[in-house]
Amino acid sequence: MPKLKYIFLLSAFAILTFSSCGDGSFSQVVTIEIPDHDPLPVVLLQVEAEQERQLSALVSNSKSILDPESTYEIPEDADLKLYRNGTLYADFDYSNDVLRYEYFGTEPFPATPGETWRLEAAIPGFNPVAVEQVMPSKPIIENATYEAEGTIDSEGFRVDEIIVDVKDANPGETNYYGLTLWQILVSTNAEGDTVQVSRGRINLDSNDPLLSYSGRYGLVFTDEGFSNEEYQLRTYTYFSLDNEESTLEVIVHQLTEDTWLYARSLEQYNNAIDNPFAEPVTVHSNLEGGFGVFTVTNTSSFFIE
Amino acid sequence: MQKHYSSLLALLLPFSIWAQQFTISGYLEDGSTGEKLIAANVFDARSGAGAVTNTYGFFSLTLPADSVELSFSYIGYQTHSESFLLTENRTLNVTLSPYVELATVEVTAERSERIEQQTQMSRVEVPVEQIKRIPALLGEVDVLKALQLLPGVQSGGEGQNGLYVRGGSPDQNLVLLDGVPVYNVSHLLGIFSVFNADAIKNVTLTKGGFPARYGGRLSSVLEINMKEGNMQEWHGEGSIGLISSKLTLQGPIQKGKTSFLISGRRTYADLIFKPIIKASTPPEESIDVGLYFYDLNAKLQHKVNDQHRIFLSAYTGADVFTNRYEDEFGAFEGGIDWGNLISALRWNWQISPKLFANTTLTYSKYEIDIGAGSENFNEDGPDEKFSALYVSGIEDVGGKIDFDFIPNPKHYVRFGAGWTNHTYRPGALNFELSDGEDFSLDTLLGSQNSYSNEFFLYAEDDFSIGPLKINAGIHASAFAVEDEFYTSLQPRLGLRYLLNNDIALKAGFSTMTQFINLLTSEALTLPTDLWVPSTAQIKPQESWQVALGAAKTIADEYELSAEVYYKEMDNVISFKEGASFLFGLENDWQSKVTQGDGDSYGLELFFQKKRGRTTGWIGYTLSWNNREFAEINSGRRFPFRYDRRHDISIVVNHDFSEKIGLSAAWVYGTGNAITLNTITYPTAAYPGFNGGQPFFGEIETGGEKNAFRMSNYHRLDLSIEFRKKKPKWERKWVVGLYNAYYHRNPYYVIADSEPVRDSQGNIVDERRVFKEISILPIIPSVSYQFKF
Repeated sequence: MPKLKYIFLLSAFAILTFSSCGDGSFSQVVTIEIPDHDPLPVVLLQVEAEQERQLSALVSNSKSILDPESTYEIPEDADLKLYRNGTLYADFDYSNDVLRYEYFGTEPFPATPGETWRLEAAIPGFNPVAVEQVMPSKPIIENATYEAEGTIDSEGFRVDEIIVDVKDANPGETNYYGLTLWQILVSTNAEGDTVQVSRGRINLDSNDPLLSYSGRYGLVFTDEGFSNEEYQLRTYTYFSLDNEESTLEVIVHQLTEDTWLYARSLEQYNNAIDNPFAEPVTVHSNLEGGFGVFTVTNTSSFFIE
Repeated sequence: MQKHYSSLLALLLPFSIWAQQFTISGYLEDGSTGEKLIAANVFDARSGAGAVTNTYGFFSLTLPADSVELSFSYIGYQTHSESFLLTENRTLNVTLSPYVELATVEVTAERSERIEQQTQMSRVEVPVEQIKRIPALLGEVDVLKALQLLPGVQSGGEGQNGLYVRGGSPDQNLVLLDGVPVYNVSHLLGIFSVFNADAIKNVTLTKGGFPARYGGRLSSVLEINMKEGNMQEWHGEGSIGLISSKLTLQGPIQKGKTSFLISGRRTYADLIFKPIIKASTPPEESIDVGLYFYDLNAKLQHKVNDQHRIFLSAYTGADVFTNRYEDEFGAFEGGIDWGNLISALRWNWQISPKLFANTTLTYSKYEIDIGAGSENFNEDGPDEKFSALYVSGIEDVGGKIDFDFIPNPKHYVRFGAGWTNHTYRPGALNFELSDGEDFSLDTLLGSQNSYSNEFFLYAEDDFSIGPLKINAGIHASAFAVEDEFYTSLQPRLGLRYLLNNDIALKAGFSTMTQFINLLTSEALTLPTDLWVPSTAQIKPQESWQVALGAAKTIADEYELSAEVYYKEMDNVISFKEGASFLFGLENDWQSKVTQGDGDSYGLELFFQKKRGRTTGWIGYTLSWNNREFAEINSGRRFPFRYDRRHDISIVVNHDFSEKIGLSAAWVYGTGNAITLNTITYPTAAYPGFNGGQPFFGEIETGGEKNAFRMSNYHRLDLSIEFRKKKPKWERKWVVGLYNAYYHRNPYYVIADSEPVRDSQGNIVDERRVFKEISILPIIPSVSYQFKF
């Protein structure tokens, strides 16, 4: 009888052993159900005060990755309006040439700090969406200097240095900034007359851990580390700027929190594409009930002759 | 004000009674092995006063000069009684004999101090014999996986042995082996733990309500003490399993005076596969593969006299993966190995009958080496060689002194201090290049070590006021790193109020500070994960936790406890969104991490049967666990990956007879929260060529971080033991079954694509799908265990 017990147990053990050694037993794959995604409205409009007259917004919809049938639509009959302190500032029109909604102003976009800007979008098939932004104050640039081969990069190579002194415009609160550098080249003819002016953006890098790169607003940073104080932004570039014909324009952007979050997360998202070891990135959206952003930024310029 | 003075007087009075009193002190030991008995009871029947032995088996009981009727008890052992007239201080070193006839059925009931007697809450001691009974993956007994079956403790994922305690991450657990921090607790990428159960004496996990003597981590303290070695006679035990074998020997070097213990474990997959690989390799080539892990524990104990004992313990263990290929033209080799070296020199000194000191000097090191090299064989000249070696790790040297002062039965005072010097090696790369003739290069990159010093002081008193027992204390710590000097004062309080029906109401409050951090991905624990210090930029992690609970022992057999807790964590560390957690950390890790806050709260229920033929427990945890980082998820709060709403574990051991025992463990847990990009939306649109379809730049998103839940996890493990016992020898066959009903538990999720077909079966499109991958199907195991 005890032997029977052992035989039974050994048989059971053998059956289980063989049953667990079939094809794919050690790599079990199960396709999982993902809840359906109902498309949501998408609106994207980023505005820089004083820098532009023309506003251009993208209007579309989200779709499920899993549904090959779903598509992006760009409706031609959406109603997109921008309000300044409650008063209509811009009524956008659809342009089929650029697949965007556009508004052409007569003046540069207003830079008055504290003004409330509200974007409202009524897109057929979706509930209306609206986003508000408050124009941040103008950043304060106290000084900016350029020195050829003035510093070293993170690898120890000599590079041109651009130092920008900024001052916290709103002490006591967290402010967000971006820093871009532009080179303005003036071409003259033999008579000394200006024949061409070109303006190109120069990429900046920094060894300062406070500054991180984001595409549109260059090096972005917050003033948490220097609230109520001045701060010296030490940056460098690999472009040779030692050109007597050129002028450098330093632009400091004061960003809203949404602008900062979107700029930074979009850059992280782009850097993480195709990197299986990257932490997932959630790109910031401030459109309640949809995706995309509406952001406004204020700017100040400083010219280095 | 006068009332306050009266209260103060009442508290201090017990220290100042100078009536004729004497102290009985000494050690309680297992009579057969000489092992110290921890938390055993000493009780005087005449006065009703009692004491409990400390971690080193020491007790001290101060009583009025009178007749005493002492009983020394420890469940599973025969009670020892002594009566005498107490007229002077007495030293009693008592040995208790185990109940031989109960050994197989009451192995789980070692403790005698009831749960309602303890001031400490949120603390669980799992007897090693119980751990050995729990069904284990591939028959490898695993201390950490056993702890995952307790309420409030979660596993990270299938087969992983990381501990997620009350919402904390694994780096927030202080894992101490004989008082020395262990930085890497895993073998084989987290599948097995480094602790060899045969060499372990006891395992205690504290999840909250931390007494002041603990510090340095936010979420838990796991104390693992090695056996000390048999003082009386030689013994051994071992096992032969499917993937590893182990052997432990212990015995006296000088009987009753000096003992040793040595225990080793090694896997042998490489030994099995080496001949197979060799047989299938062409004769002009050679392939040498090594893949194994090993552990070696050793301990020496020397009893100088009744007042002084010295212990020297060491552990070393590593995972090794090597690969060498060679043919007539050259050779290539590569490998990775990582492991710990831990050592402690401990000195127990009974300074007086009421004062006991434990002094420990420690050294520990965790290191990972990744190497690669190649050689080109030249017939006409010297060989060309290239090699690269990456080394990273952390090294600690430290010392601490702990005092136990027991002025009378109503007070138990502990105080002490410690210091640790940490050396961090965030990653050094050594290149060697030689053409065998006139050119050679030997260079070291990124070799800058960083250093920090950590200090602590603590004092606590466990005292009683009627039915109220209080443990109050303070832990002060400091951390010097670079030019920063951080300090932290951490108050601790534990309360226990005993109701008339022997139900204990308990409460605990503790604050903790953690100065060192592990850079690790939430999703995966790798040996390359770096330990780094707090710096000027990276602030120390801090937490506070409050817990309330009730506990009761029912009919001497059952233990029931319920606890609710709330924990807040500040400055917890995480990789920034988009940061790569595998490469390039050594240079600029500070720019890749961000700090934020976390909170966790929940309810834990624990019902345990400790005695009889059937033993085991049911544990249930209901919990919430969130994180909030300014730089993650747009600053919005999100569920932590291991936010597990429900977590259930049921463990049952049943002895049909002394010869056959069955064990089962069933676990259930809500699926992990992960980020899954299931939605896309455009960020740019461009007109198509020649009026064709427009094309878009787009973003994939899951909406919110960790918004998706993997499938729920559940699994049943079974094992059956067949035992045979002879007077001087016993053996056990253990047949186990992991994941007995073959549930495909998700390990990770991948995005894949599959074809879309029309009604005729033609592929017309492709669609994205998400697939859960499970790695551990039903896995049988068998092992042979022996003891002599």
